[in-house]
Amino acid sequence: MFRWAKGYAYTGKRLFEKTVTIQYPQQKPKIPEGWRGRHYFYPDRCTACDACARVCPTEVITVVSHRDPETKKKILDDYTIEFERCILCGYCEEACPVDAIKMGDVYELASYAREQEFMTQEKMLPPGYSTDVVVHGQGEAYRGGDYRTKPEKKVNH
Amino acid sequence: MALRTEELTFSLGPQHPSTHGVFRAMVTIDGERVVHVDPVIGYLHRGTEKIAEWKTYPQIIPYTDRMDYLSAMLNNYCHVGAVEKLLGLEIPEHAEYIRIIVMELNRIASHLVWWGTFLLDLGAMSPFLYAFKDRQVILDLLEEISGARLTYSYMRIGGVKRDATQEWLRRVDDFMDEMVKNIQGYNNLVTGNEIFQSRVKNVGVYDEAFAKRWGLSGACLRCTGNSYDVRKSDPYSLYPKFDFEIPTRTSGDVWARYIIRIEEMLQSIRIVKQAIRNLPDGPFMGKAPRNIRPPKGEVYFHIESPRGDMGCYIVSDGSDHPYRWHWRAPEFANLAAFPAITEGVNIADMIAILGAIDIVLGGVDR
Repeated sequence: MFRWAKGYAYTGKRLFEKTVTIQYPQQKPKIPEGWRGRHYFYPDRCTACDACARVCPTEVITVVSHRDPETKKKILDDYTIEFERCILCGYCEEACPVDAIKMGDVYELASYAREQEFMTQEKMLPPGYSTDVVVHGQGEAYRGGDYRTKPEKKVNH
Repeated sequence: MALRTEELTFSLGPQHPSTHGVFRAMVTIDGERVVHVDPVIGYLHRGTEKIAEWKTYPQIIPYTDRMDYLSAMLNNYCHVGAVEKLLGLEIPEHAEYIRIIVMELNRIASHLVWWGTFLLDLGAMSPFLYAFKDRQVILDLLEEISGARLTYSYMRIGGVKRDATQEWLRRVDDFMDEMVKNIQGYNNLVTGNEIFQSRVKNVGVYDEAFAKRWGLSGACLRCTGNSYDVRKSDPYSLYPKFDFEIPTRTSGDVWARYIIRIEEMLQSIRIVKQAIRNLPDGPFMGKAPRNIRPPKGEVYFHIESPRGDMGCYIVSDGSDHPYRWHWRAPEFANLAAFPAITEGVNIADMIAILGAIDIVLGGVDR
């Protein structure tokens, strides 16, 4: 008997506890370091090595580049992310050898149209960067799925 | 004189709060009695196993997050562990300890969701709020170390993504102390309640032979007296180094499954505290090849997920993506026994039985 009184006592005890929720639109959550939000892209750092496009599980990154005929170096022409299909796994950030792509702290990802979800270099510029560094050129586009073709399936056992 | 009744068929779900996701059960009842239940699954099927055949081994890790979404860390580990077994990789002890800490934290978070929603099914609202409050603290901790709230993608082939800071470990340790007190409070609030006990005792009873026949695992098997837990029965990772018990019961009813899961949370807390105390120094990432191309062959690796025996089967053809990638989801096997358990029970008991199976439809449908 009277076990229910214990339940009431517990409810009463926790009634005046500190809350873990926040009043969201007025109060912004604290974003921990290394959190995976929408990307920031640094066009001045990028060497167009295609590592991010190759490692992307959903193959949403397109790197457009051409080779300089004199120095034989790759030059970035354009960089886009189809953000609708991005799963924010952070592999691109890990793969990048020059830290040209970073997972940012943007978490309000809703938009009114699908076109707005297509991330151009302008949309991914980190705060404090001017649009002067953005490059637009004609080159060869590269996406993750391009290099891999599934070999003919055959029973091997 | 018996009243003449007519059988009625209706569908529970796919958008019903007590089905924990998009699960539909075609229920045939005769008055208050359940005559037959026909589960309809597949609403959340995304074909992960087929997608995985086209992805390189590291690229599959984010997909495993999205299967059993309440225990993404354990899914990560199951896939990563299978690939490591195939490669024969040596994992640094420090990384393995951090893996155990995050996996057990995730197990507690998963059990808390089960605890809250199970009692929500039985008509108790406030336990759900308490459970989610505690779970929020765990998710914040995991968010800090992995970078995402549910889809962690934290494990890497050869180690983990980031190292845990001393400050983070201290906060985990503090929260574990708090969690022990909270579970004591949960017992005061719910476990001792007579109304709750009469709802779950002697409901959905089955014996060990039944459980084995249907391939049940996890708490659904341990409630019949069998102490099968992969952490002890087929040890993986560094679990043999830890001191913990496998809670079992013999009554085989919903009450036994409830008590086992509550005790499992306490055991997980024990493991986390031991891991933090004995955490050795070292690298958090071992020497893994840059391009992961396991040798030709096949491997099966299974771990104890919060819901039971979860396994990953990989057939490698020597290339950078698997030839075949299969997932054994424990909740799928557990759910398969649902029609057999519920034959002839009351409708309200059927909901209690479904809640006690602890299904996650992301894992059932894959």
